[in-house]
Amino acid sequence: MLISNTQFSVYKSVVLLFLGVVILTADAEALIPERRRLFEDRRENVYMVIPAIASLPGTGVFAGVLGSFSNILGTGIDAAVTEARTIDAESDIHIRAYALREIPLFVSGLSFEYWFGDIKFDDYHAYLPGRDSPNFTIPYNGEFDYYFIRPAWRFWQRRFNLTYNLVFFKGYAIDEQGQNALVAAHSANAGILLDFTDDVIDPKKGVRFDYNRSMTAPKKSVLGEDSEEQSSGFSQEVQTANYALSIYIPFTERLTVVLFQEQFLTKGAEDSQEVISGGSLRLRGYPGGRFSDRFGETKIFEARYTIPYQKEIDILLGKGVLDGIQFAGFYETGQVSPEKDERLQKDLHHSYGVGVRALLEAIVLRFDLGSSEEGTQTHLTIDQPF
Amino acid sequence: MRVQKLKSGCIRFLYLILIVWLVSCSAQEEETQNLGQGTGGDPVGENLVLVKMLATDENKFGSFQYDQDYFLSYYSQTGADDPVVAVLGAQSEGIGLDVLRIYGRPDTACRYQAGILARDEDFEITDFGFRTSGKGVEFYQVDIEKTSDYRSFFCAQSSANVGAFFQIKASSKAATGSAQIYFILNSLVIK
Repeated sequence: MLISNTQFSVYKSVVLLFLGVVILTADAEALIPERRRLFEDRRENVYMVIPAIASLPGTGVFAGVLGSFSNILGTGIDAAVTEARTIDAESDIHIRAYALREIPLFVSGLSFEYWFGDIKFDDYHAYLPGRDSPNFTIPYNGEFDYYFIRPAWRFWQRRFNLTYNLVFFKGYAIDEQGQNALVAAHSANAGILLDFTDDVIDPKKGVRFDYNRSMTAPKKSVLGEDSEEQSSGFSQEVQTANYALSIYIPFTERLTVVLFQEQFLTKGAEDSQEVISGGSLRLRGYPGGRFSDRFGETKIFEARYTIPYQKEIDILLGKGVLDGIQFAGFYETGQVSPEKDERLQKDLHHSYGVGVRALLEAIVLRFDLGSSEEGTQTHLTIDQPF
Repeated sequence: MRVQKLKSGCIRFLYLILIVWLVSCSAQEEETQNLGQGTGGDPVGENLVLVKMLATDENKFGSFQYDQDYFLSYYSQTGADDPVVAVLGAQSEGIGLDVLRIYGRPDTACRYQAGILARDEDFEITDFGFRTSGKGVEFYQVDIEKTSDYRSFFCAQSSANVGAFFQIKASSKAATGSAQIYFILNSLVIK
């Protein structure tokens, strides 16, 4: 296992105890919040198209289009489109991503998701992995096509979600030695999400537990075939796991406090002289990927205040019912370490910030502003952070 | 009607502020400065040695000169397969100079080396940026230091994606900026 026996036992005990009480009590809904709305009942043809200037931490300022389309023509299928390229001097990147989500398969609750796109970066700035990573970026060139498929099985009003993610990317990158490396590689992971909250899109009460772990990826699939260098590298020896726990506490009808904790762990290649990165901290006041290492832990406190609006929107750029406008404030801490030891709790990195979200039925448009000792970062994206 | 117009105008104004703020929040592009001639130390003599730099295809991708009355040569490139071009030293000044062959963009190699030393050996990164020599060669420079260990990295790239990496080590900051070292950098000719 990728966590200590003690930690796994704690998580397992909490989940089993919770499920045990649920099963044994006469009224299972007493502990599990009733869904405010069912995801399957979302209205058809709700969409939002945002021609935007967006700032992605660590990469630069983008201009482009973000589009999200929900329940297209009543089929239950969602779609997402992203076309963006940098317009500032920090980076020269273009991103194209297209997705079809919630494609129903033959069995009830079974669906399929497919993403494809390409990323080109002529000036992408990344941070070195490691606990003592300096505030100093390394520029890379690269260009990748990527493909992603995700079969998912969801049941009991999406309270149980099982997913398998297969990613294939191919392209080239200039590595730190300046060598032009041709890469084609698969990666895979599987996950389980237990969602005991009152809403899939914007929960106000309940608990969520999310677990993902890397799987041995195939070298060949319908998406493509690995290059030789990738097939022989030690990256196949490395396994990662990610745990996240979210607790949603309603204080008033409009105010919800969210407690969030996430851990990532890495196993394998312990003899390697390189710093192996199994994940990075999701601190919104720092650029993406700022702190990464084998082990990491993030804790977030976020307060969400929602002003109900209930206004029908039917314009060129959006259609649906604007359920509300939500204001958020958050405080985050996190640390990484090469070992799972007390260093994860020492010299923590802190960030804090505010955000505003537009709740358009099944779509959440989110703008967050995070600050830290290393500056300020903005996030413009779709979906709640957790 | 007036209220609606005012709301619409305010929203547009807020959007404009957001755009301006987002664009202005981005990092500024590093400016290219002149490399300069360096200062201090012994003046460059006339007993100069020409060092040719070979790429893996046996072709010469560049050359530089150094004063052999000042620098001792501890190592020279043995062939096209050898990425180490030269190891020079001026022991009286406590200066070491290594020249290596690199590939790809120069700022990647120099910034990566500096970043690794900063992360793993507690060096402090004190300066960095693009520099242009008198011969029009563009370098990327990074300076790092730790107590009495001062290092400067200069990376230059040729048109064929191959380049030269100069690592200067000295026991004083002044020594890394000496005229002898900057003569070597300014003598670099790269295709």
